[in-house]
Amino acid sequence: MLAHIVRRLLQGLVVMLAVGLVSFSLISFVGDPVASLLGLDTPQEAREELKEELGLNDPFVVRYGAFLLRAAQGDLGLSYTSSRPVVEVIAERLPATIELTVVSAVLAIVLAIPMGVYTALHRETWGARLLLTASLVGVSLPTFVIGIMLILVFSVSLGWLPSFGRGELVRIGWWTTGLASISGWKSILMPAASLALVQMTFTMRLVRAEMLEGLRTDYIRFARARGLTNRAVHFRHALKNTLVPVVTVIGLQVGTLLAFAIVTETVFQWPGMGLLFIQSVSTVDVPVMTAFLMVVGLIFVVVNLAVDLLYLAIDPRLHVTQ
Amino acid sequence: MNRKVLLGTAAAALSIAMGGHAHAAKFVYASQGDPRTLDPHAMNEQLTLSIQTQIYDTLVGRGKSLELVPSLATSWENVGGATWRFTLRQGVKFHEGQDFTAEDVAFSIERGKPGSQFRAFLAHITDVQVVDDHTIDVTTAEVDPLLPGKLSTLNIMDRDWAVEHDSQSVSDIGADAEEIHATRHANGTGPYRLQLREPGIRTELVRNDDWWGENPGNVTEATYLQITSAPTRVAALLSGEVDLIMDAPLQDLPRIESSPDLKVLQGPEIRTLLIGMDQHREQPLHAFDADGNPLAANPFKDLRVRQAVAHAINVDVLIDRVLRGNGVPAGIVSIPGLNGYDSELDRRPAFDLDRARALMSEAGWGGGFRIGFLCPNNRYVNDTEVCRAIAAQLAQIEIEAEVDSVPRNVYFSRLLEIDTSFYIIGLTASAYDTFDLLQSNLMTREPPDGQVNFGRWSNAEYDAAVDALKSEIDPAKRQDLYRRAITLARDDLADLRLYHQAINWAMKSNVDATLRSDNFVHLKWITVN
Repeated sequence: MLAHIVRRLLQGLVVMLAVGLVSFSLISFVGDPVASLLGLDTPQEAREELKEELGLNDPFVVRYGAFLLRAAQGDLGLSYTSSRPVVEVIAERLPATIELTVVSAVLAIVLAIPMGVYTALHRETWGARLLLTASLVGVSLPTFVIGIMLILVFSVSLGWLPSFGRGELVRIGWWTTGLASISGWKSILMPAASLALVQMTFTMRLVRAEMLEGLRTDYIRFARARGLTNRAVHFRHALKNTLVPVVTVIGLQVGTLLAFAIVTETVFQWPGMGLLFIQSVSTVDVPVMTAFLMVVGLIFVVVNLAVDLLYLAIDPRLHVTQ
Repeated sequence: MNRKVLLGTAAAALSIAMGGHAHAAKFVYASQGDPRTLDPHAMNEQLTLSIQTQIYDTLVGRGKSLELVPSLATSWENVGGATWRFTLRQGVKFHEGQDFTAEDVAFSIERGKPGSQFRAFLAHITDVQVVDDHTIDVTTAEVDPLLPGKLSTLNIMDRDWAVEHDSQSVSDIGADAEEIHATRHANGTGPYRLQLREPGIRTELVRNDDWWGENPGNVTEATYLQITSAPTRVAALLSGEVDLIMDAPLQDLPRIESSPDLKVLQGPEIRTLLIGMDQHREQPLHAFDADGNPLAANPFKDLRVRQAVAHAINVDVLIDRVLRGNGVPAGIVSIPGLNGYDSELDRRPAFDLDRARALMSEAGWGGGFRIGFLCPNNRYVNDTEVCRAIAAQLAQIEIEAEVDSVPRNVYFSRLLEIDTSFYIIGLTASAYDTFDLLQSNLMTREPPDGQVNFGRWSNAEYDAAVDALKSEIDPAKRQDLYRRAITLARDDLADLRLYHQAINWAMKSNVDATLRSDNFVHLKWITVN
């Protein structure tokens, strides 16, 4: 077990180095930070000075090495545009993204599991068909279109929900939360819903398929033969056994939620890391971009590791194959 | 008796506090970007300055039509040679209570000089002499008639505050740099104080009731929000969460105007869109003949080809169709409203395809050519659409302009490397004088002269006229020089001026705002009814 964990940690380290290398080299295509920082009427010497100051004249290997060295000490440099420490800037935005991701994951699970069970049990009803079709529409419409439609309906036409931002925030140490106020909850509703939609569709279909599979198995037949109620058969036996793969997939999808959060955060001006990333791309704020990619990489690695370990814990059969 | 007097005084004080403006109002405004820093000398960027200028005052101010007006300096005069004397306002206090004196002005000039983005305005200042607490002499290397205008961009900071908070020099972003206090805090003398600053999210300002000037508006609390996505910004206005947006997308203007609760305020911006043509290289870049071979000669060196391009482009159609009316045709190296603009000179070649074709044949390019057309896709209003429309128009005279549409950051780095022989660009007068345009746009490229002359047009007579403007104090002689330079550039089609871009502020109908062509929202000119 311990050897397994150590091996996975080492693999994670390699992944992080690769993420760093790829993001660092990709970013050189975004454009010249100096051109973005200085107006066109800035003298050439000033450009050269800034280039030198930012170390942009050094060869790639030197820059990457220096970056890794400082990153290992927790120093990701200063943001080019806001001249503030990147670590601080990212930490400021992290709570918003995490709250959004968690709320939308919970929303997706709470809605998708009953819907999946329902569509599996009442296969031929119009209700199930409607849910299945609607979920297809949800997954095929781009997130930003859904976001804008939600804003049009609930903010512009009905005036119920705010169209942007996080609402009133409460500060707990370095963490800020919007979940402690009514306006915060009102603000998170639409972004979380539009982000949850994709995951909801996947989860619902997965639960449905697993349920259908489960209902055909022998132990369900035996359970029925024992004269158990439908309720007990469906929920205690069938659903419980479908949940193992569902939990795994949901865990893995947290990463996808983070990725989709970039779009959602932009549409709803949600002040999280995704929005920060988009803003830093438009200003060629290289330190912020690299830091964002590293943080997302890290989250992916950690989540994958956690899911792996959970899986081991949940399903004893895996120990045999070790 | 004493009690009566006291009561009377209290009532008077109350009525002053209440009666200064109709009623206190909160005001929320938004646009795509966020001020990058509050350090008043770190970034010469439009939006950053527009927020800073609510908090900080400049030495010399600008009025509603950008004319020079007294601000922290009440008057200024050239006292002979290259020295300007500024008389400073008395009794002004910074928000945190420090007195404003000549030392603060000297400090701000010195702070802005090295390494800052304002060095272009300040680098030539050789000496700053504090005469007394409220008089200061500024001397430049050579006579500079435009110095007061240049100093209208410089925010004045309190020296003691900067020293106390370790912010003596402009913030730095290199590897070993650290954030300085002035990046997120501000202590100015301006009409609003900083209340809260959350970078990338919001900036909150409150009215400074002790401001030295008159604040005719009624905004007591203002919030500036960054809303990146255009549809969200419009939605925030439609739903009433925001009072004003500074950059309404053109396609949404009809919808906003049709709403009874909203209105659009339109005005010209100090920014001219123009096409630059390479007149320097023997062989232009990214240019090919009909058979796909690189061009052996540079067509743009021939005035007739430049004229043909000018006659082939229908600017009215661009403005009407692509910009939905949001532009004013431009013909010369100046902009209405700038000192030195002359409407009599402002003529542009008429749209005339036959003449354009004839000129092309005459120049020996009747068969046309193919050329890469460098164009940003997120810098100017509907930039790529404008470029595509121009390409379609040029196809009529067999010039196949291949629109090379790239993001602004790539676009600017390619421009600076002059990796183009045909490009569109939008240029502004940084110190609000025609001279800025004449010098940076078209002088022979020896920066700072011809800083943005990427077509590298070069004309000795023009250079001489603009050089003379650098030190000519006499207004009448200056006007002659402006006219001479403008005419020379226009008649030789040094570049092809297209139109001046428009600003659109969309706002609630109960907001009265003054739109100034630098696109700054001045809270003191906002009244919420």
